[in-house]
Amino acid sequence: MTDLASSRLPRKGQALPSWDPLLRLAHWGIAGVVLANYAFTKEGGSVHIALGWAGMALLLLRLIWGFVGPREARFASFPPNPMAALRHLGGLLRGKAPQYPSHNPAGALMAYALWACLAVLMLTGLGMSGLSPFARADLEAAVAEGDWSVLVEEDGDAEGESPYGDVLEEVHEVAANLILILALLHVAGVAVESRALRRNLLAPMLITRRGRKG
Amino acid sequence: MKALLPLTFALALSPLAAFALPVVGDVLGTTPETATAALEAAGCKVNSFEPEDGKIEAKCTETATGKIWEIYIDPKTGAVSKVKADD
Repeated sequence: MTDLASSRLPRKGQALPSWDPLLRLAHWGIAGVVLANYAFTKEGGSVHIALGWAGMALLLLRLIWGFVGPREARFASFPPNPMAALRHLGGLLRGKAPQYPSHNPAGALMAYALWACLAVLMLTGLGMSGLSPFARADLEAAVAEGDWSVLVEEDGDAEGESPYGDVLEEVHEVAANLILILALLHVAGVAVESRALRRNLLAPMLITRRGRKG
Repeated sequence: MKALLPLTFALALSPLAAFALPVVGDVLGTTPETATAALEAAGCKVNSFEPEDGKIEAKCTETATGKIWEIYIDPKTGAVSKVKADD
């Protein structure tokens, strides 16, 4: 594999990053969880919580992958650099932004921003829901059957109303909305760069290029 | 028995008075049946009951306005602990 700096390709039409299967699984898995929990599942319900746990596992996996994964997946390959991000966007406007073997500097900032918001989203979600989607499913089933005594038995312990509940809920909702806005910007950025510089940035996130190991 | 008094009162007055949503402290009951009846008497048709933070969250639609409310009920005492518009 070539050295990271020397493999930076300044001209368009050169090799695109090749994302490994685990990275792609984390990317699309987290996107799916966020969309499903935003649009389809019932807020605070057991399915919402279970999906949140799945998203948390995928995020953790991706963050660990940032240290031990292939070169293009490692944080060292795309350090946060706002000035370089601005330069990249400026270059994009002029139609000649360089290509990078990993995230470009603007994409890198977006990834870090999304991960930070996802971490806030998941921690506040955990704070509101407690620790297990299975316990939550049992409670929902009991209440749905008309048995409110399950709450009386648990009241006084961990199930008591948290004074921070409303704050957690607000922060959770703000983080969710922010993630959606960032995701739209991310999609727009991919579309603009793909079109302006004739680079298909979407394809490497969908398929593994032949002849190259992950 | 204590829970029945405000319920009876609410039911008796409901045809005469304008509907008023429950407020914190009102006792709606400790079973889905009594709480449903009390909320409907107060002009809010129950859609669902769910556990929330150790309380029962009753979602109901205010019949006069169509607005959805979240009424939190203490499952031990049957009293309303919080009333919140569903946003």
